[in-house]
Amino acid sequence: MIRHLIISVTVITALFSTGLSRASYRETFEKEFMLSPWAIAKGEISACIQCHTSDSMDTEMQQLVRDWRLSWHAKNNVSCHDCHGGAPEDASMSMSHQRGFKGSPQEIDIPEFCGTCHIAIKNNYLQSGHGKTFQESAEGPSCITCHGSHNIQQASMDLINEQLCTKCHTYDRAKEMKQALFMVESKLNNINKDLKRLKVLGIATDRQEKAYFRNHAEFRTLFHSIDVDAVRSKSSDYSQSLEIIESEINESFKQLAFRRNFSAYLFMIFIGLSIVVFLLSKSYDPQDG
Amino acid sequence: MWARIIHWIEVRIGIEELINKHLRQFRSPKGATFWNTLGFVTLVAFIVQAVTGIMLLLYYIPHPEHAFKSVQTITNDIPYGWLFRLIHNVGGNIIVAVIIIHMVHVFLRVSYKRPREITWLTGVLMFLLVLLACITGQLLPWHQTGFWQTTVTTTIPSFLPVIGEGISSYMRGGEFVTGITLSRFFSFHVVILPVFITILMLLHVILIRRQGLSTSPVIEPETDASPPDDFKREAHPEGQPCFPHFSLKRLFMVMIYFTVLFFILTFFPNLFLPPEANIQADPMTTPEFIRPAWYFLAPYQIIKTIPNDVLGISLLVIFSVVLMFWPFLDAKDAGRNIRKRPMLMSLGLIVLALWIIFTIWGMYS
Amino acid sequence: MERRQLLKTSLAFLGTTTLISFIYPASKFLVPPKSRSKDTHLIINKDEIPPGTAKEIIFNETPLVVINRKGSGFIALSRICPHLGCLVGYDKFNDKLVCPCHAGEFDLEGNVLSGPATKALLRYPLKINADQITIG
Repeated sequence: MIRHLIISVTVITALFSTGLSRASYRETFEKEFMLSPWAIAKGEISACIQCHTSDSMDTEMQQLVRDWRLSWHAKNNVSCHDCHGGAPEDASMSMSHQRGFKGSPQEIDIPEFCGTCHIAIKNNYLQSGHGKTFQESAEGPSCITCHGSHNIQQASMDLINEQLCTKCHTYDRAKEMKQALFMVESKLNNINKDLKRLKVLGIATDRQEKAYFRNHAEFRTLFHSIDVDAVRSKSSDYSQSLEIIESEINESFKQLAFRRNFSAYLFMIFIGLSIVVFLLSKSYDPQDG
Repeated sequence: MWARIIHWIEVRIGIEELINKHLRQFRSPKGATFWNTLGFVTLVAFIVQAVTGIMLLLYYIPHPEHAFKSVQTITNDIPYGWLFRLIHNVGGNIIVAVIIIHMVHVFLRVSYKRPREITWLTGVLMFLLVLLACITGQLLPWHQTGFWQTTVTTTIPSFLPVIGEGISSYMRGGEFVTGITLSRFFSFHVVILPVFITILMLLHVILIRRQGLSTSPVIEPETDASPPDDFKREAHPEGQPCFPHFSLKRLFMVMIYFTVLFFILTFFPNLFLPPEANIQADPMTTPEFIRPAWYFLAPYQIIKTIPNDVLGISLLVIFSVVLMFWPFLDAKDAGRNIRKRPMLMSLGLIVLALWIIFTIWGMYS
Repeated sequence: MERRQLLKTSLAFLGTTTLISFIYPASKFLVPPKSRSKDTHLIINKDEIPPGTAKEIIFNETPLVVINRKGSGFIALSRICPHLGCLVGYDKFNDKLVCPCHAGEFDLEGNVLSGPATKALLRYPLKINADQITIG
């Protein structure tokens, strides 16, 4: 009798304690699985966009959103509040200073405005001929002169063109800079193309993509100092870093070729086997078993 | 030396008798062609999936933070990991094609009639379970393609009234596709579905061996108008012994299966891996084109075409049920020669044609 | 019969080749490759990094930063920003790590404070002796 009692109490306690530990496990489980980023579905349309696309806005305001939608920022989920501040999820706070709303920047404040995120580029620009001219005389290019304000596309060498650069001076200086950039930029272009190809073919390109971006970003930052000699002297360093990525890319292409060859070898063997088995099967017909 | 080993086994298992009974005396019907071997090819394809699946299981990690990286590691860092991953990926698609061809052949042979109804039933059930295995398998690499295909697939049942939301919720383990869905799909794909498929397969094969392979009514015309009333094993005395004649036919088709598999692997290794399959699942970004796998294009297109979602889904459910119980719905006294049954032939061909049309439409829409 | 014998022999030969062609990759598959580390250890002297400062080094071709945090000791973090790969820098005035490309900010444990990164900076193990730090 006592034995049965002890056993029952032990079993019931064990069940309860698993129940209790399951309760605290539930918290950890919820935190790990349910509240993580993958548990959330796509976000809703921001309050900023809702107002600025409505018919109560004038056409200029509506055009801003259309411009932004075509931009590289939009493709990377950088939207209104990321630059202008404010609360995108709450219409009443969407333009509130409490939530950091900055509004449209004054022209003189544009470098600081873009430089909130693009820190390194802002620093190089402010020390460059372009930046100093702009700060002293408010004439000269700011970020939006070359890049636009809302329809910002991926930066490329095409931004250095006769039309844009001759607004203030002759093109020959810009041409010199474009030539100095050429070698590294073309390497960067090729690497970018190859990495995209490799990615679609199944190769893990994460590490090389980061190394590519790192070199790419640093080189572009260097350009903003508008110092042709600096660009020229650093070009060989960048070429060397890029060559490391290029050799890894070549290794990946070799690996893909090996895979194809090995599969082709197996393919040929099975063709051979099919033929032999077929002939063997036919040799037993008409049946003589 | 060999003879002594064989004799040792013989004394304990009686292997000679087993080989005689099951391989030599078991005969395939006269006029058995290569088409009759497709069931065996399906079995081999399933074993290939199981073996490559187990190999992948050695390195795969079923957690949202690690799943994608683990599959990338298998494909790129583990020696020959790419080979087993691609065989599993391509094989998973080929097995569906083989099953469909096998089903069409059995249908056109009208082999599902008495006494083979259970064989047909288990076959269709296996087909549905294999499709489920494909659905669950798609999510496991946790890439954009699989994640969003799963989101769509698990949302479709929710259109059904009353039970729809419940079904979707059970499938996903919640309102959205999350780590819980991954765990759930993983256990289904690796254990639950293979166990059930194996049980059904054993039933299927035991029945076939017990009853004997069905004849082609064209070559061995039915002697009596109505099917037999008591158990009659079809011995096919005029047919060929299973070993080596029919076995060689089976082996040949298996070689064709492997040839097709490695043809795809050599020339189109990414046929079933669209570009989004190389990007980790991102619940915040929907890719521009989400399309289901090719074998689901037809049902998906049907649901998209019919304006009423409930009607569309019910149609598919009814179709599956009718397919499963077809032997019981087919005219009881009608014969097995499909050339003498124009209605059945047209029905079969119309369904097949519709399926192909909807698949192609789904590909381009 | 001769033909059949020839076919049987070819089948045996091809079959064995096929078997080996699968067993060889399968056996290699079972042995995962060794990690790609060339420098297994890197040693720095403690006095090279006074408290509140950091030192940038390269370890296994990866740029790292070793920070002597006031009150929490040494930590070795990868400088590669988990967003797109730029190298983060140590901001000693604000006790954080900042990425110059898109202003991603990380605390001195490597956790994301703000910015576009979604994962923390990779942490590297280090051992501290009397006057030396060993990384790796």
